[in-house]
Amino acid sequence: MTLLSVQDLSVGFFIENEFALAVRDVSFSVKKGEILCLVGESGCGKTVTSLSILRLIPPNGRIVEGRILFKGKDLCKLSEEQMRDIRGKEISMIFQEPLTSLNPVFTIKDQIAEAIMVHENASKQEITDRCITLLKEVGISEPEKRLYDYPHQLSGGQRQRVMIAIALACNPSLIIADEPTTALDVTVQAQILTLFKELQEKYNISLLYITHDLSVVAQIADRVCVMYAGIIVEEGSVEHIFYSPAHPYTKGLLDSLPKRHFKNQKLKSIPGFVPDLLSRPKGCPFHPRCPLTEKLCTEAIPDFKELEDGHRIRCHILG
Amino acid sequence: MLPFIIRSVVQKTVTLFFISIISFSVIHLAPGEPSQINPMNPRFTPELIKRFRSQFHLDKPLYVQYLIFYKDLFSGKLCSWKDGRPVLKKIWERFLNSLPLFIVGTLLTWTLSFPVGIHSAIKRGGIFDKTATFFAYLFISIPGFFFAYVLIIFVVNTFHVPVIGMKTFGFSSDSIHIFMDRIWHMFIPSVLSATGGIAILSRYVRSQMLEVEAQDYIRTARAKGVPEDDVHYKHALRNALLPFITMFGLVIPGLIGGSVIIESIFSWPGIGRMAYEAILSRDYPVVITLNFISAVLVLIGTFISDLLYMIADPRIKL
Amino acid sequence: MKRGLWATLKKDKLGMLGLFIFVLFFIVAVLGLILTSGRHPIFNPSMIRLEEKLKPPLSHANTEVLLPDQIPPFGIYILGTDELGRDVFSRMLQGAWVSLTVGFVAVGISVAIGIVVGGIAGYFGHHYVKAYHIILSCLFLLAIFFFAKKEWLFLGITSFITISLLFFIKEKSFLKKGIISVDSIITGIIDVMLCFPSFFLILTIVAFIPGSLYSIMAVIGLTSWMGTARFVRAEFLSLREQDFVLAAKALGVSEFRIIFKHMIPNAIAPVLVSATLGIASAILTEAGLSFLGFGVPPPHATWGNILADGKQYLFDAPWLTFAPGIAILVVVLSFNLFGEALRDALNPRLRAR
Repeated sequence: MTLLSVQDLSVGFFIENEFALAVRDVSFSVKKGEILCLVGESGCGKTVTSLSILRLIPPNGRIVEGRILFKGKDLCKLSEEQMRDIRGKEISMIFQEPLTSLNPVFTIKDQIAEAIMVHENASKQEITDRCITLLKEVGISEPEKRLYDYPHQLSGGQRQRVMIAIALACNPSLIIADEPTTALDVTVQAQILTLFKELQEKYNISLLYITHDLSVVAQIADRVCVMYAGIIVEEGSVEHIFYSPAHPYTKGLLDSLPKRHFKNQKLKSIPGFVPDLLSRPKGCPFHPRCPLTEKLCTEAIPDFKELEDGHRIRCHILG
Repeated sequence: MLPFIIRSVVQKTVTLFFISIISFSVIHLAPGEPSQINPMNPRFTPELIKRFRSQFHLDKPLYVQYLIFYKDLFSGKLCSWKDGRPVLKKIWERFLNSLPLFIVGTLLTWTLSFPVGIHSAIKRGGIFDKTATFFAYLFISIPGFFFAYVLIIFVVNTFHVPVIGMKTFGFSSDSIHIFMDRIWHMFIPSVLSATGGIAILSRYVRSQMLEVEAQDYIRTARAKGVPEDDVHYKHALRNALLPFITMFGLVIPGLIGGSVIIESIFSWPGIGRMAYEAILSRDYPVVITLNFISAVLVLIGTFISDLLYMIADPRIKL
Repeated sequence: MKRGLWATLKKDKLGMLGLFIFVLFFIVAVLGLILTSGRHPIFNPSMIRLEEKLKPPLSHANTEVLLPDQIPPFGIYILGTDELGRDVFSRMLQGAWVSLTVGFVAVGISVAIGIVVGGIAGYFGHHYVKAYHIILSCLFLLAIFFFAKKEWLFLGITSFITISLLFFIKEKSFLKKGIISVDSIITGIIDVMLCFPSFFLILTIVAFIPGSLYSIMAVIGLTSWMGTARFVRAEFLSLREQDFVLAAKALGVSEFRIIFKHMIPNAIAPVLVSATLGIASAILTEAGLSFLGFGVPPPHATWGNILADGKQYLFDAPWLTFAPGIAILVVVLSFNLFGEALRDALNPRLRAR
């Protein structure tokens, strides 16, 4: 059952008197209880996409076209008040930097409790109990004590767990996580990823997980969308992407991972640079770096072509 | 907490000690002794000068003068060289005159700056912001004495309200009218000192609010579904106000710093003018005492600031 | 970085307006200096014409009563005359140069002192002043004192103690103990200076020293460096720990070069802002001092002077108040606008998201 369906989303920004599209024509969907990973390098538009779902893009941004269907309703058409009912309650979001994402002058309890109080009427005791339960759920030891700590007193991993607890407070059906483990140590990262998988199994929560790290994708994704310079270039199940990658960019990403079993090998990289927002090439944005470029690639953005069941790419040549 | 307090007090006492030495020496090393005020005056016979000097201990070595001076200062016996009255008493009288101006000015400044600054920040770029910014720049840049005269011309020509002095000369009536008379006279000077303060403080409030509103945790609050008003007045404000809580401690030195210019223009017998007159007449005891008191207030003010900062910001370890 | 800075600045229209007015002001001041100096200046600021006193702006000169060289250019008093019949416009021109130089020189002095003091505190702050430093300095001061008082005996004794001490230092380790850090000393000095209310301080000094253009500039500069010193100290403290300084040291770059080539350019941002705003404040202070009678002595005109002289004729000749007042307002405003624009441009966090 499809929970979230993003259709033909285009989002742009006013930068220095120009308007540039950060995200073009993006479509994907998340089923109930599914973990979808949005993968790409910095600047490809994955964060903007995720922020657009909850309409949290900065004031100089605009959703130019598209629909975001959540449980049948188009989120783009809702009023600000209606969106507020959804934020934190039906769809929650977790951000990348846990230290700056938590308000430094409020205790952990205040911040988790607020998430509850904004959407539900509960007594103080109920709220306190809920907070303790949530902290236990996300794996924080001595939750009764940690409740009254301030964010700066916790470690990075603990802070991110608190963010997850806040996200879970009202039992959302979808959690959007924007690179939640990028700022953490690898071991802590592994714990957080395990936590996400547990939550998915226990509560059947859907997760839209944004990352640039393919190893993370391999660990938790059910399905994957690969983004480059504002468009989705390939979409499929995690097996499709890792075992039969089709798009040259996906292949390039996988190739550039250092392999363990060959000594003295040169590290492969994709030649060229990711274009910045204001200087994206015409046509397929990957064509300057693509080994398969032809004339058509410089003129138009390719459409989606379905390769096999649930696996599609946007490429003029391979599609 | 306690080690901080002790350390702070010790440091500030040391600073105060150095200040006392410096202000004392600077005044005494400067050219022009009070006994030379009227050297051409035939009534100042050499004997009189000698008596004058010994009375004011000017014939003793400097460090002895220093000790005697500060002993007198603390015991309240220190007398002005201009009219022989005890310095502390003189200062106290003038202080009581300056106090209402100070209180009203400070009250106006601190109560009006915050709403203006916060509203400017929240509705950044809007009409309110643009207007407030315009006036802020105007009041920051206008020379105080010029603005005073503009106000005087305007108020006198329009309202025919008395403007100079603390009260209308020869006015006696029942207390409610005397009270209103005082208020009238206080009106322009207070407004004058407040406008500059509001202009500067509100800009600062605005920039602090803007900086806080750009932080990640504000985005988190919105992502939680927190209503917009709470985002601004609960999450953002609490962080933005932090530096101002500490600034409040620095208001204290203002007690002794009456504006010389405003008091001169309005003939207000306050501390600022007293300092000015004392400097002109080389009245060392008054000058040094005022200096000393001002230093004490600054040190107390910074101490309270630091203390408030430690209490208000949970990130500072107590 | 410079190119990007200019591009960002250009967008702030108010800031550009401020810069434009400043350039205008600069031109007027220089022109004013040229036009009002010399024995027979084109615009004569000190020509007294008692017959023509307190005439309103744009009034014609009474050519019948005046001598030929008393007649103002174009035959009109562009901004009227003051209580001695002097042409206000000429005086304003003369005063422009004063305001300009006072602003720049005073701030120049305060910034120079601030950078040096703040830089030392920030960079060398963790060095400790050792016991023998203190003892030697005291002995040295004593020696100077005795030299001045021509007490040769005491001078001899002091020199002897000093020289013998120099031998002892190598052995006695307690003399090498660090007593107080350079940073503490400097911050202590800054704190002491901050305890003196600034206008009061300036007034005190100015009352004792005969007022001249240069003494005022020096005094304002010497009493306002503390803010800059604090900024520079804070920046240096944080920059010193940053990796690029470590990297430069690892490459063998000398400390002198590190400070001048690497750290100062980074620390300069808040200094620039505070310097621009400082010029505005210096101009206001000079005007205030002139108003109280402590400014540049007559007959040299400054804007504060004109205002001060004019206050007695407030209701009868308001132009004496308004001309300098508005001029000061506009110039100070321009500096404030530009300074704020500079601050916004240099602050990466406040740019519109």
